Amino acid sequence: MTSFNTLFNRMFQEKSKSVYLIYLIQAFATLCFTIMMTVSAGGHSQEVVVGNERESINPIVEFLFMFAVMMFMTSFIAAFVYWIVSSVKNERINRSQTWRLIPISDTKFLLSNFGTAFFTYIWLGILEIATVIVASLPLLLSSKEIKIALQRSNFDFSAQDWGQLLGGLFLIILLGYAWYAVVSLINLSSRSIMDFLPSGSSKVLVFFVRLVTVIVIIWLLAYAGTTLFSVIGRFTPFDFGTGDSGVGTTLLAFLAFDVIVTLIDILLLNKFVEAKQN
Amino acid sequence: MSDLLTIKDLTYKKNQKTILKDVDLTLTSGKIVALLGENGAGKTTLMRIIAGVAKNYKGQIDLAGATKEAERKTKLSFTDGLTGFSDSTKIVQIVRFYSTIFQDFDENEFDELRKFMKLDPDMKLSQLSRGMREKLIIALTFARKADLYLLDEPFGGIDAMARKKIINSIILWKDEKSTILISDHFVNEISSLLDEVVIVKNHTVLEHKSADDIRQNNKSIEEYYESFYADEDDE
Repeated sequence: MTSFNTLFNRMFQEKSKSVYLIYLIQAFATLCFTIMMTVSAGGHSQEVVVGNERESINPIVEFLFMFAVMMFMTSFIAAFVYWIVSSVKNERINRSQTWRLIPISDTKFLLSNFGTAFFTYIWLGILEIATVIVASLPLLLSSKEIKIALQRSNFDFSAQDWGQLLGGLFLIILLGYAWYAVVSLINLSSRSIMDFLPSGSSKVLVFFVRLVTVIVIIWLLAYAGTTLFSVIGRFTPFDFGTGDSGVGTTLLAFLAFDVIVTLIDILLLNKFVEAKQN
Repeated sequence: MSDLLTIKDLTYKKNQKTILKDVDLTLTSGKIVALLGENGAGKTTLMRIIAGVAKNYKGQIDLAGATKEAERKTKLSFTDGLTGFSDSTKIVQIVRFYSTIFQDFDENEFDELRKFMKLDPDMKLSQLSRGMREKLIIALTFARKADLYLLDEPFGGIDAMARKKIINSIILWKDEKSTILISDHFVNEISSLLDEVVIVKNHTVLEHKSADDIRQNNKSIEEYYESFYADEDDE
């Protein structure tokens, strides 16, 4: 049997190709924007303003800093593109005979597929953050005013702040996972239903049935999600009388939602959805 | 010889259409078996069910003691169309994929088969003709050490000369104990290899006979196969 780690690594390698492509396009677009901005701002004096202090800066350092800012701004578009591309890739893998012939259980297969899509997104984030830091470094290191401003800033996190930060981080992970699980649920369930339609059905009918199926599934998901959240909210184990049970309850509700949707995905993949014939 | 593959009461429907019904089949180890039937008879579906990539069937399948799909997949090697790879993928990258994913994949064996098939490892999938792609698929399939090889129409695009060479060599590429189930339209060309013949007709396995029995009745495998459709031709 193929181990989960082997499959995970392999899928990660496959999906990271999309990450590199998106990152390169993003970097190229950012470079173009930065050049355009530099050209359009030609003639103005280059200076950095911190509080009431003004300090002139090297044009190259300014260009790099503008590149870093643009990189940060375009990261939201890159993230959106990545989520769409990776979802399509996930569903292709779910239906690919080449991948489905791998000797591994459907549970591990699906978890590896979702997990690698999410971790390659983290990889994209790391590449973007590294680029922003590297491009900002010359300004941060050369400007006295920024150095002083950084030294003055006091990051004093309380235990509650850390708790909320960690809670937020887990919530992002659960939300990211939920996206892939829901996209798969819509795709796998509509495909399963299509396989029960009589053969020779017209394309219009097939399209109509698929559309209705997708709408019904989204409605059911929204209804089930709302019910689940209200039930967990009512019986939350995180209410210690402080009235501050928000993060814990939301995390628990999303965790329950992810687990239930994943179980349905596994059932569909295991029993109904077959690999596409060559 | 011990039983390798046992299929009992297998029924498969798709889109309200029966593709296979009440299929019973037993294959023993070390045999080369032809799976014959007209287009749409269900040969590919039967292979896909055995390989665990077609779902929602009823019945039992046992491959060398493995009944779960994931376990069955470790014991068989199926000719896959390589649709999971993009056209820009090089042969060497596909080999890397196979050697990482399949524990029984033998890179040295593949290299020998690749040389035999005259394939350049740096060629991309998009650069391969249909015949070359099929040669690659055959090489990848036989580079695994499996109990059961499922070859689904493997020679369709390969020229007659190369086909003959490959067919004559197949017997050398498999272990003594492993079995090959092969579906093909070139019945005459593969007939010399065959130990058994399975006929799929009317959504089920209609006949399963040893090749020697057929030959003893002074019939060629092709004549035997065609006899199942003689009535239809007369109509």
